[in-house]
Amino acid sequence: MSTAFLSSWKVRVGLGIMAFFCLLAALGPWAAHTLLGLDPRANDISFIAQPPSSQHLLGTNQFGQDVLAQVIAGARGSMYVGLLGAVVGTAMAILVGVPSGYYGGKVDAALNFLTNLFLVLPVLPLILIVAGYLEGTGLTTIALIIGFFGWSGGARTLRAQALSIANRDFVRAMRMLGERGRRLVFAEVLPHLTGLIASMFLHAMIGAVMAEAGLAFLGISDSSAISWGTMIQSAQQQSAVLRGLWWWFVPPGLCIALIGTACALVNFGVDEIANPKLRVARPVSVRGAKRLARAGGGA
Amino acid sequence: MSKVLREKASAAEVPDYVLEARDVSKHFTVRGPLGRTSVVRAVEDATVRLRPGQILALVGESGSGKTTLARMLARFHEPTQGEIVLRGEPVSGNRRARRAYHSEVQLIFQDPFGSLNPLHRVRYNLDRALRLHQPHLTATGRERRLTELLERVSLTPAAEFAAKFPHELSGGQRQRVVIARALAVEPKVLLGDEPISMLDVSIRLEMLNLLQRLRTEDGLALLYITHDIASARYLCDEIAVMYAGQMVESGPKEEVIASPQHPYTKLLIESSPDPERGVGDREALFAGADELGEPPSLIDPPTGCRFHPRCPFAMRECIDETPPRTELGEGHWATCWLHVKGRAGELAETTHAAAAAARRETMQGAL
Repeated sequence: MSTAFLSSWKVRVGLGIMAFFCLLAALGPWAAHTLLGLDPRANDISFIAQPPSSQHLLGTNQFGQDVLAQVIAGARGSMYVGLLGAVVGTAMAILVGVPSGYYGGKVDAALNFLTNLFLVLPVLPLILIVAGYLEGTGLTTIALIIGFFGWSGGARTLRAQALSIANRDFVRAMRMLGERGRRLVFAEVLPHLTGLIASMFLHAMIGAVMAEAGLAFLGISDSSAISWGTMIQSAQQQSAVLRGLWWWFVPPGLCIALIGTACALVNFGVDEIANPKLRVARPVSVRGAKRLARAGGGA
Repeated sequence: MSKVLREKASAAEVPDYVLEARDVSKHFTVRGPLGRTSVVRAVEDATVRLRPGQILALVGESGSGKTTLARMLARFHEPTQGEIVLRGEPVSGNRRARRAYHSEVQLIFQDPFGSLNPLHRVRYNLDRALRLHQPHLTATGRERRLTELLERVSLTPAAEFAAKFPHELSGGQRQRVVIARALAVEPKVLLGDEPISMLDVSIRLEMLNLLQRLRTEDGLALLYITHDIASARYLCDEIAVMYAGQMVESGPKEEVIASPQHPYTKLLIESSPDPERGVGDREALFAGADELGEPPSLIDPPTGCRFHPRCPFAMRECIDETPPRTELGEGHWATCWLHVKGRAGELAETTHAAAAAARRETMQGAL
C-alpha cells in the first residue's frame, strides 16, 4: 500500500517539497550560520535595501539584514507554527469528533454543541482578542491559539464518519465479543479514518502556516521572532511594495505558497487511498498490460 | 440449604432450556417528517426456547420480526415487554451482566462481508476473543487454541489463514472466520441470523454441516433464522413460524412441514421451490401467485388475526378477534380460528393457491 501511495508523481513531488522545507527548518539556520556565515539579525549598514547580489544572494532589507538568512530562519518559525498548530487542531478534532459520533446520545449532544459553537465563533477577531489578552505572543502561543480555534470543521467531518462506522456490523460484533468502548473507538473505528485524518492534518498545516502569516501581517506576533509572516509584515510596514523591494516579500510569500502546494499534492494521493473511486488506472498496470500484449504478439 | 432448595425448585420448573425469550415484544418509535411519532410493533409476544444440542429454526418472510427477535436475544435491543431468561434467570441490563451473557450467547451476522473489520487480520479477531474470554491462557495457549478453532471450521492450514485479511477470503471462508470467532468465546448458544443467505449456493451445505457438527459434538443450542424452508428442514429439529411480528405456528419440523396447521405456514411451504414438483403442477400451484399479497404494515397491523387480509380461509372471527393458541400434541401448536371452528381438515385437503382461487370465485359469485 505504501509503495502504491508513492507511485503517484503528485505525492512524490509534494513529499519532496515538504521534506526540503522540513530539512530547511531543522538544519537551515545552523547551516546558514556555519557554512554561509549568515546571521539573520546582523545589520549590514553598507547594504541597505539592496537587490540580490553576490554578497547577499537574495538582497537585503530596509535594515541591511540578509533576506536569504531571514527566509531560512523564518522556515523554522513558520514550520514550527504549522506543525504544532496542525497537531493541536487535529488532535482536538479527533478527541471531540470521533467519540461524538461513536457514542451518540447525550455525549454526542454535548460534544456536537461544542463543535457548533466553535464553528460559528468569528475566529479571527477572537484570536486578536485572545492574543491581545495573553500579551506574550511567542510562536508557541500563536500555534496553540491557531490549533485551539481551528478544529471544529474537522471534528464535524470525523463525527459524521464515525457515526456511520459505529453502526457497522463489525463494530457490533466486536462489542458483542465484549470489547470495551475505548478500544472499540481506537482499534475498530479510528483506523478507518486515517486517510481522512491525514488529509485533515495537511489541510490544518497549510491553514496554520497561512494563519500565522496573516496574524503576523496584522501585527499579532512576537516582533523579535523571525517567521515568513513577520518578514512580510515588516516589508509591508516599510512599504516595500511601493518602493519596488520585491526581493524582500516575494521569497517568504513563495515559500508559503510552495508549502501549500506540497500539502495539496500529498493530499491528492491520500484522497486516492481514502476513496478508491478516485483511483485512476495506474500507468504501471497499463504499461504492464501493454508489455504483456507485446509479448503475446511476439510469440 | 434453602438456597440449594430454591435452585432445585427452579431447575425443576425450567427443565433444560438454556435460553428463553418469554413473551417478548419490541416496539420501535419512529418519527415522521412532521414530528409525528408512530410505533412499529416489530415483535409481539414471541416466545422462543432453546435446549442444548437442539436446533430451532425461525422462519418467516422479510419484515416478520425474525431479526429483531434475534437481536433481542443477542441483547442489542432491550425488549419493550417480556424478558430474556438464561438458565432460568432473567438477565439484567448492566454492563457486567451483559458481558457475562455474551460469553454464553453469540450471534452470527447475516452478512460475512460486513461483520469482519477489513483492517484486521483473522488472527486479530480470534486473538481478541480469546484474550477477552479466556484470560487465563498464555500466549502459546492462545496460539494453540487459535489453530484448533481454525481447524474446527476447516480453514487449514491454520497459520496461513490466520495471517490473512478479510478481503483475501471468500464469503464462505469469512463466515467460517465469524463462526470461529464466536466459538472462541466457548458459548452455549449460537444465534444464526440467516447465516447462509449471503453465501454461494455451493457452499451453503458445507456451512449447514458445520453447524450440524457444532450441535452434535459440542451440544450447542442453535437458533437458526431463515426464510428458506429447505435448509431449515435439513438442519433443525423444531420450526417456529413468524408472521408480522407474531408466532403463528411451532412444532417438530416433520410435522410442521408435512402438515402445516396454519394457512401462512402452508403458503410458506408451498412457495418454496421444490425440484421434484412437475411443471404442470407448478402452473396450477402458482396461478394466483401475483395475488398472494404482501406482509402488512407493522405500524398499523390488521385487527384480529394479522394474516386475515391474505388468508383464503378467513372468517368473521378472524377479522374481529385474535385467534387463540391450539395445542395439537407433541409440542405442535398453531394460532388459527380454523382449529377452534373445527375446519382444520380443510387445510390438508387443498393447496393455498387452489383455496385462494376458490375464494375469488365465491366472492365474484356473491357480487
